[in-house]
Order: sequence, then C-alpha cells, then structure tokens
Amino acid sequence: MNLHGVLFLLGRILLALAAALVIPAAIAWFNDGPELRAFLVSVVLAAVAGLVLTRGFRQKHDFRFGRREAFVLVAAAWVTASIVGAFPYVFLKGPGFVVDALFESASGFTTTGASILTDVEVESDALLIWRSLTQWLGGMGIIVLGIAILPKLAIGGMELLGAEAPGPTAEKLTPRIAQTAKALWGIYAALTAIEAAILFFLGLRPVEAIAHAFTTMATGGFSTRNASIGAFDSVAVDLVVTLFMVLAGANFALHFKVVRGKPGALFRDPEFQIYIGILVGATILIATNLVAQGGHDALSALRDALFQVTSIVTTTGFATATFSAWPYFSAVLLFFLLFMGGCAGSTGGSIKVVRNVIVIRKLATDLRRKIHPHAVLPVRLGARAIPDDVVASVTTFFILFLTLFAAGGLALVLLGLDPLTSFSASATCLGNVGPGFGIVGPDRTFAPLPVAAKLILVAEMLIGRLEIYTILVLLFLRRRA
Amino acid sequence: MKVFIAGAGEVGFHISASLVREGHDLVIIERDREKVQRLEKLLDVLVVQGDASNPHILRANGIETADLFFAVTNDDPTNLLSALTARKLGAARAVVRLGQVFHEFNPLLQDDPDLIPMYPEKLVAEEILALIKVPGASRVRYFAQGRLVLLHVRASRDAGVFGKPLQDLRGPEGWILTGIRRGSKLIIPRGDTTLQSEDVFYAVGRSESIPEFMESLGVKAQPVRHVVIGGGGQVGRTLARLIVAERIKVTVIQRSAERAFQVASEVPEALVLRGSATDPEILREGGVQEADYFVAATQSDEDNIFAALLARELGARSTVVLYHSSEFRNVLRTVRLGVPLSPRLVVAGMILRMVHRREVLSLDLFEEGDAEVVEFEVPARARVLRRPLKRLRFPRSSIVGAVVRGEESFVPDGDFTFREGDRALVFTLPEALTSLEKMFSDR
Repeated sequence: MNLHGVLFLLGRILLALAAALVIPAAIAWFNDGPELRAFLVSVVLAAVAGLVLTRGFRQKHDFRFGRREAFVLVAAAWVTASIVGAFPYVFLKGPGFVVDALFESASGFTTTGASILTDVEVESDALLIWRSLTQWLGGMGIIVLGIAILPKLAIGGMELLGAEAPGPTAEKLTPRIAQTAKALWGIYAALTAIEAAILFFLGLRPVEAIAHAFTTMATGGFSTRNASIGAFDSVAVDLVVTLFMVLAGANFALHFKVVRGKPGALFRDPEFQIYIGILVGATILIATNLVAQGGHDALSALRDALFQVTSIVTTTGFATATFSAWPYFSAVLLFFLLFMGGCAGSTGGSIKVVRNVIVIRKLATDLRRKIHPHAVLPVRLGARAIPDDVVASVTTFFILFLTLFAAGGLALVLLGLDPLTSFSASATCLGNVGPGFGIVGPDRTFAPLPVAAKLILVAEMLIGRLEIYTILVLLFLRRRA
Repeated sequence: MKVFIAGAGEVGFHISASLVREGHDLVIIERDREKVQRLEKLLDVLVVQGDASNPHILRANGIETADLFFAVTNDDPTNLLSALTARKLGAARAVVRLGQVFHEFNPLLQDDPDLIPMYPEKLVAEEILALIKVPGASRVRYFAQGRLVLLHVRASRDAGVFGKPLQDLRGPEGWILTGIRRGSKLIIPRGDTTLQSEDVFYAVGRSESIPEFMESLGVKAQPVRHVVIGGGGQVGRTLARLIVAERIKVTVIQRSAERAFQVASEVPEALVLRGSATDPEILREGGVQEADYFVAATQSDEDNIFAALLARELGARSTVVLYHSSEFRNVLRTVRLGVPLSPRLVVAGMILRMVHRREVLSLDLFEEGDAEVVEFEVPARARVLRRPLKRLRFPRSSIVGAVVRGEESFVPDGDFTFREGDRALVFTLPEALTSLEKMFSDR
C-alpha cells in the first residue's frame, strides 16, 4: 500500500478545503459578522493539517495508484472533508454541537440535504454559503475536483474516478483523465452559474440565488429558508429549480456531448428517456391522486407533484409542499421513489435509474430463461447489451443497497424511533435525498434524533454517496493480501 | 486477360480452374507453401509464394498490366490492403472479398469505382432470405429490380401437370417453364415435352404472381413463421437480422458463449440459444419441430449436414444447408437435404461473371456446368431483331425466359419481336452459349 501517496493527496485535499473555507470567511468579513473568527480558525486548522501532510509525505515521483490505494484515499478524503466541514459549526455553536455539526457537514458533502438546523433563517450568510458550498463540492465529487487540479495524478486516476463516480461504470470522455475531470467540473460550474443568474433575476437575494444554485446542481437540497423552495411561493422559481434538478440528475457525460455539438445525445440516451418517463409518469399519478383524494385543484396538484417528484427522484430533497401529509398513495409512491435516483454519471444519489432498469430487466430475462434454459438473454439498455459481469455487479449493488437500508432502519427502530421515521430516514440518507417521513418529514429536521441515530445516518450518507462498494470494500482489505 | 488472384483457398482454386480452361493468364499469390505446390501440380498457372500486399511481388509479376485483381483470402484486412496496393500499382480493376459488413462504410472503398467490394456471406444470407420468402421453392433469383423471378421448384404429385405434353397445359399468365431437371439431365422444354413426377422445374415469371404459380403446381405455400438457424457466424447473423426485419420469428443456435452473446446483442429480436446445433436437445428447445425452415450455417460442413438431418428428423419443414468444401456437394445431393448453398461458390460465380464481362446471372446457383441464366442486351444490328421469336431458329438448348424493355418486363410469346435496347434473360445449356452470343452480337 502506497500510504505515503495517500497521505500526501489527503494533504492536498485539506489544502483545497482550506481554500474553500476562505469563501465563507470572506463573506463574513465583508458582512463584518461575528462568525468571521470561527471561519478563520477553520481555515487555519485545515491549512496547517494540509501543510503538515503535504510536506511530510512529499512525493518525489509520479504516483503509482492501485485499486487498494484508490479505495482508501477516496474513503479517507470523504471522511476528512466531513470533519473539516464541521469545524465552522462547532466553533460557532460550541463543543456540545459536535455530532450535529458532523451530521450537517456530512449531509452537505454527500449532497443529502438532511439538516439538524431547526431555524436556518437566523443563520449568517457566511454559514449558509458554506453549507451550500459543501454540497456543491460534494456534488461533482471532491476526487474529480482533485483529479482536475492535480495534473500529477495520471496513473490510477481512473481507479479513483471509479471509486467515486455515481453509476455502474466510470466513463472517460476525453483521452486524458484530467481533461475529463476538468470538462465535468466546467459544465457543472457553468450550469450552476446560469441557474444562479436566473434565480437572481427572479428576485432572490444574490446569496440565496447562489446558495440554491449550488444545492440544486449538486442535487443536495440545503435551502436558506425553513420552508425550502416553498418559501418563495413562485411558479417561476419552482420551474427553474425543477429544470435544473432534472439537468443535474442527468448524466454529465451527455451534457458533455451536447456541449461538444451533439444536441441529440441527451434525448437519444435510453437511460435519459426512462428517467424522463419516470418523472412524467410519477407526476401524473401523484397529481391525479392529489386531485382525487387530497382536495387539490388540478393546476396546483400538477405543480406540487412535479416539483416533489423531481426533487425526490433526482435525490435533491427540496420541498414546496409537506408531502409527508399527502394521501397515502402519493406518499408511498414518493417513498418508493427514494430508491430511484438520477441517471448514472449525474450528481444524484440513490440506486440510479440505470441500475433499477438493469435489475428489473434481469428479472424478466431470468423468467424467460425458465422456458428456454439455454437461451442467451443479454440485459439490454437501448441498443446496447450489458455484459453479464456488469449485470451481476449491479444486482449485487441493488441487494447491498436494500440490505443496508433495512439494517439502518432496523437499527433506528432499535433506538426507539417509530418505523416510518426510521425506515424513511435510512432510505433518505442512504440515497442522499434529504427529507423523509414521520418526524423527519420535509417540514421537520433531524435535530431531535438521538446521537447514535445521527451517527448511523452519517455512515449511511457516506456509504451511499460513495456508491456502497468504496466503503464496504475497505472492510475486506487485508494487510499485504 | 491477365488476372491476379490473391489467396488459393477454396474460392481461389475453384475460379483458377475455370479461368485457366477459358484461356486467361493467371498469377496466383498464396502464402502457404503446401497450397502453392498443390496448385502448381494441378494447374498451368504462375503461382507465387508470398504476401499479396507485398509491392515487390506485385511489381515483379507485372501488376501494372493486370486487367483484374481478386483478393479472395479468408482475411478481410489482407484482402483490403492487397487490393488497395494493386490498384495503386496499376491494376485495372480489383475485387475485394469481405466478410465484415461494416466495411461498407469504409471510406477507402468509396471513392474508387474500380475497387469493387464483395460480401459473399451477405449475398448468401440474402439468397436464403429470398428462398424463405417463397416457401416451396428451392432456388429463388430475382431480376429486373425484383419484378421478375426465376424459381426452382418441384411440383406436387397431385397437381395434375404430369403425363401431359406442355402445350396442353395452361399455366398462370406471365410464366414460362425454362428448364426441367430430370435425374442428372437438364432439359430445355419444348411444346411436346411431357412432364414426369420426378421432374424439378426452373420457371421464370412475374414476382407478384408467385403465389398463383405455386398454386398451379399444387405447392401449398404456407407463410413462414419460424426459422431456426444453426450457427451464428457471419452468414447466420446477417440472415437472422434480415429475417427479423421480415417479422418472422428467428432462433439462432450458437456454440461459443462469446459469439452467442454477440448475436444476442446484435439481433435483439432473435432468440439465441447457447449450444451445439447437432444436439437434439437444443434443437428441440429452439422449437425446430415446428420450424418452417432450418438453416444449417455453422463453420463445419459435417455439423451442417448432421444438424440438418436431425432437424428434418425432428420435424422441420424445410432445410437449407451451407457447405464450404466442394466435396460435400455430392453428399448433399445424395441425402437430398433441402437446399445446399456455398458462400465460396457464390464468390466464384461473381468472379467468373466479371471476367466474362457479361451478366451471367446466378451462375453460382445452378449445378456446375449444366445451365446458366445469361442476360443479353440487344444491340442495334443484332440478328435477333429480324423476325419474331418463333421463327428465329433459336438454339434448341436455350430459351428466352423474360425480356426487360425500359420500365416494363414480361415473358415473351412466340410472336414477340426484339427491339434494340431490350434486355433478354436467356436460360441456356453451356453448349448453346456460342451461338447465342452470335445471335445477340452487333454485326
């Protein structure tokens, strides 16, 4: 194991985090707020730790990175980021806030969007921006960012990308991995800037426009308002945010192709077609149900259904309605949609559309095989036949995801929480969605949960964001094996 | 004519033999020493051992004076490279045998009209598809943009056409009987010819009235609903793709897991079974007992024969058998296993046709040396222009099957008179070819 290399890169990531912390510090300084000191201390702590590691483990040669190093580094990077991200909360709110701070920070970097802040509207601009920034950084992935800005990391970069990338396989878009990482971040940043500009023109304060653009594109879900996007009560804002959630939940490789002059790539992609189909289908079902059983008028039913469905499917977690109080059919359907997720290669979490499709089609082919035991029945996605080993790996992922969901939920029940809260919290954190049902519904927070529950959920968030394998594989790493 | 042939495999050998007999000068380039020696013993040709894309070899043997260059090895890249090289070095025309259909999109093949690609596997697949679309026929060949068709078909015993002279029979409008195979003989029918129950017919007619024609022979044309293909190689895959496009159910049986996956992913509509086509268990799972056609298209001639026999035993209505080695042709004829087809003979046929510089159509389809369908264009001062068909003193061993005039095409009767520019499809035995050529030549 190239431990030196891992620690060195960890140092680089700490320095990058310190640089990121400068942004809220600058805002605090500009606003002349009392929170400036907390941010400055955080910057210094992260910078010093980073310098110690980079100096202490300076690399003389190019890195040689294997799968083992990749998994260890990625897992360590995300845990480190969650801890560093918690600094400002702790320094602002005191040592009793440590677990809550870690929860908020992990929820940020993993783009979950579950919050323990009972009243965000009293928080300073600096903290709100930091909260949103953690999601934005975590959305495209800190490792992808690392690869984009660390030209030395040429060998093994693909392994790293694979350990962090959302979806069954990581895809290189350009001959060089650093170019791919830069392209992804470029598109991500551009879309974020466009959304922020539109929201600003729709009347949001600059800080709020930027914060929401950050958390939309990251499919994170942190808001600057207690009532989330619902607080703006504007059809235009709803639609703009919906549109960008849909884009963020689509494969960024497709956005890349569109930018490269193949505008048809998005709509020809079978996963994107199914993704849009799910959004439209679920919206119609829920809107109909809201009219029939929820007493909504048609237009508001459609508006609420579209926003909530998009928010859940893309795993963003914004809300414009208290969907936990909707009629059972709508609520249960939304609960199931917690397991859908966006497209592979998106910033969305959860199982992902493509995996669900593959698993369902695998079931269908297995049933067909009962009639033709020797039949070769590849699982198809569009015109492409998925190789059997990928199908097997996806199936394993699917089962692992559901197992972890069940185990997490059971653990929360054991801690005395009601089943609805427990299982929805487990699903929403493992899938990086955000709000759940019961006492963690969209109009509530995760604050009242016991400390042990919060730690379990933090673990679920990290496991979910790193697509399960990266963390679980560490349990199977034996020394010198 | 000076002809180069790269590759002395089945195809190379077969065409060499015919071309030498016809008096052409042949240079054969072959990599394998044993094949070179065998060829030198058997044929009066110049055989060069070496790589056909080697410019030194090509130049040393006078490639710049070559009228035709045939690249017919079993390897696509070799064929492509040697043909391109030959063209660059001055060969007048080059023909490239290609297996992979994706070469159709290769830009190297697109801007040189004298570099002619040939896809034998695809041709064979198209041939089989044509057969499948006319149930009951054992050969089907279309002419004149598909408006005319030549069928090879056996009449049903209770059709009532046997025992009477032809002039007393009334066939459907627009059809003509052009040949009769009786045992090993091929007869060009006359009005007084009497049909016998063992006869197999060659008939030319309008494509749109195929069902009427088949009905008149008492052949019940059940539509084809299910085809089982043994072997997912180039022919099997292409055929499967063509058949599913006709909305006919296809099952492909393929032994290797990798190939099977490839077929399954390329032809999603087909059911692909992994296993041997000679395994009755697999054949049954593929539903061969209810299949309208079983196509044996594996790489092995032995397997193909065995699989087809099994399929017939299990209840497949018709079988088509691919063979590669000419030795199997006679075996296939003896066991009378449906329709035998050889991709290599298809190539050989095409090549001979190009050398002859006339449209000898579907030569490949007929028994070697016994009948050909030749297309003649009528020049301005041809002898055939003088009087109507019945007074032309046409050779007895040939018959005009159809005439294409502009957009029209029809089966001529005795009172028909040719015009300049007509194209005649003549069904003929080889001995009449010389006199036919005289009749249709510009004096």
